[in-house]
Amino acid sequence: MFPVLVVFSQSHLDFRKAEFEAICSLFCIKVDNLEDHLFVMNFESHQDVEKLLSRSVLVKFALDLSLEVSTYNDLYEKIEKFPNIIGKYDKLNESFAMRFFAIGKKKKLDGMERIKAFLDIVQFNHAPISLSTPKNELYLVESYLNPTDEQPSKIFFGRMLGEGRSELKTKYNLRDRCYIGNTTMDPELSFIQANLAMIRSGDIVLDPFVGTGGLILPAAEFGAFVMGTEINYQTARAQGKSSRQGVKIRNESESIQANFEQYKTEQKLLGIMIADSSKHGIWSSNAMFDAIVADPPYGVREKATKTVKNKEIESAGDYIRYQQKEEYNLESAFCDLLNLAAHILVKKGRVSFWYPVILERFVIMSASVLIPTGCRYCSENLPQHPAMELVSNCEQSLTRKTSRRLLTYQKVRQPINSEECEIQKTGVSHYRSFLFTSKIN
Amino acid sequence: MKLFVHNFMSSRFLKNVTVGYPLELTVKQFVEKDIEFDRENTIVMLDKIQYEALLVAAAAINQSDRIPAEKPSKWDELSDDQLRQFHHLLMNIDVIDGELVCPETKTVFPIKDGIPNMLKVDAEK
Repeated sequence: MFPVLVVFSQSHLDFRKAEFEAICSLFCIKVDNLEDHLFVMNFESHQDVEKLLSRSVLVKFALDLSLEVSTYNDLYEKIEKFPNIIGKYDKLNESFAMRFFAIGKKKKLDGMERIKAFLDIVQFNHAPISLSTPKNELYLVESYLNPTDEQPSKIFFGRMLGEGRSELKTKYNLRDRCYIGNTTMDPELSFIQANLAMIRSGDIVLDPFVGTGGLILPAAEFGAFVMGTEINYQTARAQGKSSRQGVKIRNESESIQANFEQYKTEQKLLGIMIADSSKHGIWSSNAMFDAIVADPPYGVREKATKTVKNKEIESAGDYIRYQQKEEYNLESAFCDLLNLAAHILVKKGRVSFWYPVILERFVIMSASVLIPTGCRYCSENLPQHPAMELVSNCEQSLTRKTSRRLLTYQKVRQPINSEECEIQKTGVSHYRSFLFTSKIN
Repeated sequence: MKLFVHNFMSSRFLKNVTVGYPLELTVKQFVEKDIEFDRENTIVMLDKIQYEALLVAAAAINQSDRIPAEKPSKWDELSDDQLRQFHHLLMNIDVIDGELVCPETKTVFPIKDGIPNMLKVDAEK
């Protein structure tokens, strides 16, 4: 066992713990309770650290930790007392670089000055300096409780083990992506979601509301084989109005397939179908998925629809036959999704989906006007299924009145015949009307 | 749509259809890709498929001779070369144009530009 300093990104704080635990669980890494954006944890092997870094988008980097002290005096005393701390990096054939990183305070900090002061006192006698390609990248990390503090509360010294995968959000940025829709998921969150769903290489993953493929692209990046269903003919075939500002019509090169080609994961795309995901019978009884990721339409920027029977069909040619669709009650959409997951997931498989909520504090402010009591968010009101266990629940705030939660469930057993998802009145079905009619006085 | 997808699909959602599996498949156009073979992944996939449906799919592209008519008893006892044949059918064949047909009601679901359209109202439950 050896101590490792794990430094987290400052974004999406509410997802940090869940992502970290899911990845550790995926690779069977034992975890302690993480507390802060800096976190010291004992790892059993370097491979475990590498595995964690290979997946996490919220871990910035990890250091093989040599020292954790409160003042620079302590730091220098310990370095003098234990020569091996520096000695093990001070070798003729191993170049090094000193770097500085601060958390909790960015202004008025001079990293170069800190490094100079450190190297004035701590002598390296053998190891050559290499700033561009050092064998050992040594870090001084200062942590401040308040940005106004003069002195850091903690100082860490250690060797860089590697960075997390924050570069993925740049690689998958929406501006450069071939094909996007109105509600394409933010790339960073889409990778967090793939981690929460514990998607691993070789898995078969489904998105029942696939849209332009934004949630299965990360799954494919992590090595899974992916499938998607989409009820909207034009979205699935990348026709009609473009979602890009200033662009009117989607052009011919846009398609879900083209997105996979862009990121060189097209070998992972099993197929996209035009289908109604509320009809579970499109899947045969042997169809088993390792994970489901979804962002069901909330009826705001994308309509929530399902097909209905016995209504007239508008037909236009042989292939395009638009089926009559009706608005899909959001509560039943989420119930359908959880029921589907209970049936088509393998045991221990996970489903991770976004769930819009109306914030309690706002409901209290305008309770009498719009929302019947019991329709606001509270954790007891989430969809429940006896075969599915809720493993994480993270919030991203959207507006002053609303937010959405990324809910992740794990299948604990095969459902018995009559078992169905239950959901109490949560306000989800009022989400749209609430958003568009309410006014604060 | 890779041929693998056919193995997971049924027409059980249609009215008066109880099994709806395997779907009949007509392939008018397909492309053969060259996706890297991975022994472990191929076995994982084969564990999930129904053999009779795979035979239907292989016949639809006239490549039945690639695989045995009887389901092998254990996947991990097959040689790499044998597994490559399964890998080829499941992963390398991309159906571009064709039809999926419900075995009971004969409802047709067209496949165009590689995307099957399962939205049909005629006889829905």
